[in-house]
Amino acid sequence: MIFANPPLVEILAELRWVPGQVSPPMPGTTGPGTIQLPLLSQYIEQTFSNFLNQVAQRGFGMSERLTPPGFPYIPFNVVYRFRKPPPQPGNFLYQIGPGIFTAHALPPYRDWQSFRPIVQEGTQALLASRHDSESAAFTSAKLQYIDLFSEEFTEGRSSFRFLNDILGIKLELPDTISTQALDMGRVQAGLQLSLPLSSGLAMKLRVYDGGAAGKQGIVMTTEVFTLQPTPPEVNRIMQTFDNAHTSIRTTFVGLTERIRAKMRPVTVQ
Amino acid sequence: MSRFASLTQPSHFGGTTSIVQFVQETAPFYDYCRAVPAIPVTAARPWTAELTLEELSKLKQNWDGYGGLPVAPEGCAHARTFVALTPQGMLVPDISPTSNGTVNLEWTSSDGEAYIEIGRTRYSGHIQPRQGETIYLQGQLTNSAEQNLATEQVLAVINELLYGASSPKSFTHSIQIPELAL
Repeated sequence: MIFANPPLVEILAELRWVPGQVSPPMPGTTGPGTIQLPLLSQYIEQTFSNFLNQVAQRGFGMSERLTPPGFPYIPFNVVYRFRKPPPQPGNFLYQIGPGIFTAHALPPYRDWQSFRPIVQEGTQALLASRHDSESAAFTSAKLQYIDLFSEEFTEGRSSFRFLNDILGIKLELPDTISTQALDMGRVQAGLQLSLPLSSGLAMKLRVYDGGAAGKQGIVMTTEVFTLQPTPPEVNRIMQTFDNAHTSIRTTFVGLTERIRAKMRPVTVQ
Repeated sequence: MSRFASLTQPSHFGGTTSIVQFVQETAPFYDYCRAVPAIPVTAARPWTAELTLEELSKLKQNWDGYGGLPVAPEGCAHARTFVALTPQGMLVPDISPTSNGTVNLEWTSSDGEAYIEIGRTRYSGHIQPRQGETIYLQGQLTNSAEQNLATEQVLAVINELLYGASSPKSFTHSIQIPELAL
């Protein structure tokens, strides 16, 4: 089942590692090498150049530099963005920076099966691009969904009501507060949940009032991420993202059951 | 769909890399969010750190009774930069002198520990995440530009590994999708 009218704003798959050129271990030791900071531009730019070539071969031939040349590199901040050139730029793109790679899907989004190959190819491109001294495990892998429930979905409910009536997350105010409220229907509420999962991953769920693309509504971000380093192997990484997707989808489908019809579910053969 | 022709704001120290742009609209909501962090985040204590470094700079030869060297003024200055550039949400480190005349900075969180030893012209140290291998760091601090850059990058890595995954990060209240200028 997929949704023809999902509240989705964006999906991103993200990998992080410790950037920096690694010097060899000291003679007589077997431990890991030492990372040199500040980052040397020739190493970083070589990784970016390699990645540019790799994703260009996969059709993502248009690049945009988000940080001006010569600006200092801040770890985990993106420097380049890549997407497919016209006439069909598509709704997928990649970003890379020192210690970070992300793959994004924007509306119109179909399903994970259409985005998964993009994530996999981007991951393969990254693994083929990182400088030899940056071949360590990924410190973090994360899949994040951002949804906006606009008026179409909330039907005028406040975030407090939406959490209780639609998402089924029961928030009950004590009398000392509720008796002072002019109108409980206008109470705004935010929510942050952070929970370790039985799969070994962790989930962070946030719900709050917000706006996107000119629409106001209730934003829900659902992210599932690793708690342990992930080996730099594409199959292991994709298995992690698959597990994360399964968890996020289960959460989303369950929470939005009461507004499923508005999302126009379509059964996929 | 309205789109804004602005670059994604650089997300300092491990913030979101989403294409959508996050904006905090109101301080009260932000304060509310900060009141329920996933990890204990104490208020920054830069004045305490400053006082500590001031005291360290006054140490004399043999300050520890074992021939300890006085802390180099350059080391104190570098340590001040580390404290000054400590990002929001990250604890100010514990500061201590060493008998070699260097300054030790130490961070501890539920995700691990980090130690950085700062001398006149270079630093070295390691990060021990609760999960994963120890990461060793070192570099030069020979000029102010290099020092600031190295400091900011080291802090970014420590922040990511010690405060990244479980921290509240940036709480968002409004989203604008920047125009994809391609």
